[in-house]
Amino acid sequence: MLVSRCPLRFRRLAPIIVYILAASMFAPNVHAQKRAVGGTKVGRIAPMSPGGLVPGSETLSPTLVPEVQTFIDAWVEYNTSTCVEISAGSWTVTTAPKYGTTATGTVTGTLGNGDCAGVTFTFAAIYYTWTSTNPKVDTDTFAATWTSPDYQEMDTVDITECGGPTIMFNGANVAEKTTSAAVGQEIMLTGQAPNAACVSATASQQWSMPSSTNAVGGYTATASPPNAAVTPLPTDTTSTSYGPFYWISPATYTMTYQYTLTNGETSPVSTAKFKVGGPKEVKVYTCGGSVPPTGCTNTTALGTVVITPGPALGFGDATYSNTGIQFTASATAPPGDFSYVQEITNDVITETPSDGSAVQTCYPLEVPTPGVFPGLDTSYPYSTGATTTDNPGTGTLTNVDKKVSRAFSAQMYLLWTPTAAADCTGGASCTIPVPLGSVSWRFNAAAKLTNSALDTWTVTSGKGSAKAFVASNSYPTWTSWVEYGGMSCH
Amino acid sequence: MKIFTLALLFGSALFFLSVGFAQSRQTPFALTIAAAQAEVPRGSEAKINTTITNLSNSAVALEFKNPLCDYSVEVRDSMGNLAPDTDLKKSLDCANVSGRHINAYLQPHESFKDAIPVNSLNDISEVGEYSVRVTWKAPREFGGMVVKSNTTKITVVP
Repeated sequence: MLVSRCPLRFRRLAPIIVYILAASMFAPNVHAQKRAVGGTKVGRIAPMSPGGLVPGSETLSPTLVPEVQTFIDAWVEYNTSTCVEISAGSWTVTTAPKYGTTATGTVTGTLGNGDCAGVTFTFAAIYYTWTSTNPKVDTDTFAATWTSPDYQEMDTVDITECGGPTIMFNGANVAEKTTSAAVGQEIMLTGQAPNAACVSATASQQWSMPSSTNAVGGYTATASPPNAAVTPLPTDTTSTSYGPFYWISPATYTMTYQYTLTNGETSPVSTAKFKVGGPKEVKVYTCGGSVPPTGCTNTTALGTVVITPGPALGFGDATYSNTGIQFTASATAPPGDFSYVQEITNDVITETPSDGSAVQTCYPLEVPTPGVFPGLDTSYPYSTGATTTDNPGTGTLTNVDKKVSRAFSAQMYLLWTPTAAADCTGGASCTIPVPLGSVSWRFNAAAKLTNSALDTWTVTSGKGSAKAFVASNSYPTWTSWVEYGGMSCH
Repeated sequence: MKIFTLALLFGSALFFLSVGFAQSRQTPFALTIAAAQAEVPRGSEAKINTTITNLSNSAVALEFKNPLCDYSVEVRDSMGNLAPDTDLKKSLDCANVSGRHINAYLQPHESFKDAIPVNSLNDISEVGEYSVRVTWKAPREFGGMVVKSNTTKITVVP
């Protein structure tokens, strides 16, 4: 027999060695069992969902958010043959935490080791709550021992606090701060849990969204192809970053970010305040006729309809003694530039031929379809700077016609673009223009041929007018381009 | 021989005079251009931003109507070939432009900025690099000289 060949001393020790080996197979590395009794065993609770520590984890290093009681561990002693609960046991804290509190209680559940499937036990549980408000610490530790009639488990728990997340903007953490920005400035935010353990334990995240009444995702405007549209705000509020977007009205705004850990706990909400500057006390004066070249100083009457060299029928003659209309903007604003964009809302020229043939209705050439308004006037932008003018004139009048009239209306938008930060590497996306408002204006003009041989024309009627500047943060949009490279008559 | 020498001297004098005259008639304007975007997707707008600066010591009044007509734009592909004119350019009736008409007043060293959608003038639908140069004719009262810009590049990408 094998036993008989063993030394007597070994034979006496064999049951003890077997016991130690068996015990070491069942005991977690960091736990010590007082003793094992035939037919009984201890077991951790099965995963509780949502929340709770994943049982079976031998290193108790939970990540948790402050001021929330977090389940740490729970054990029960049970009979392995009958699955009868022997004891829920109880916990004793042997080393108290420094930055939080512990609590104990019972919780019902099933065994995490797979034994006694479907049988519910009452486990003694221990909980931890991070209570410190010291921003300089984010780790804590405590030790506790679970004891049942026949077993003892010792836990050492290393806590990582997952506090308020950071909100990064232009390389700086702006969480819980007020940061200066400008309307039209690109805003790109990145949120993150405050330490690596919490980052890796982050299951999801949530951004607030700016209001679409005072922010946009962008603005694209082109003449060719004709298209100007506002890019909607980004709708992805559950990624690490939110943006890019642009505020379009000066005010103070808040953006918030929060993350949720894999245990279901949600972090404190971090708030970033943005004091967004932009043009204030915006005024646009319109004037015409004899105007100061440097711009209107008040709103006055517009210019007069005249026959200009060509001859042509013009609203003003593009001189400073008879400018058709001049727009001058002023505002209290951070560094930036004004620009104008004009949309043609109507422009029709009626020609009455001298030979008595049918009256011609003419529209300026427009992409895609002449005569469909509104459309972008000539170029985007119309011009830059605080002052601009317009003196629309017809093409050359000839004695082919005996009468010519024109009905013209337009809406001149004022926009403002902040000066891009020197360290912004985003190129054109660093800033976008923001709308400040618009002026609607119009003129009618008519002339008749007075000397066919000399091609002499005389104005028979004509008048221009402009409405007051209306402040608005609505962007000019278009899908037509009145390129004014000629006329289309029918 | 005497006649030949005299003619040579006279010719030389005329040559140096003409050079001196030309140098003294430097344009009071500078024209610089830059691509609004160095790379543009095929079919998108390829815009050139222009800046005309008053280099003189006195204020000037200028008129600007349609950038498609106010400037002359030369676009060449990477082989140096001129990009074909678009139908829009062929149909332009610049003598009868009836839209935007700006009278711009530029103080010394002030600038007027404008934008030219180059793709509406020249066919740059092929992927590749294009070089663009713009010229602007100063008004007659400023000598009517042609002001040439720098050359800039636009890359059309798929």
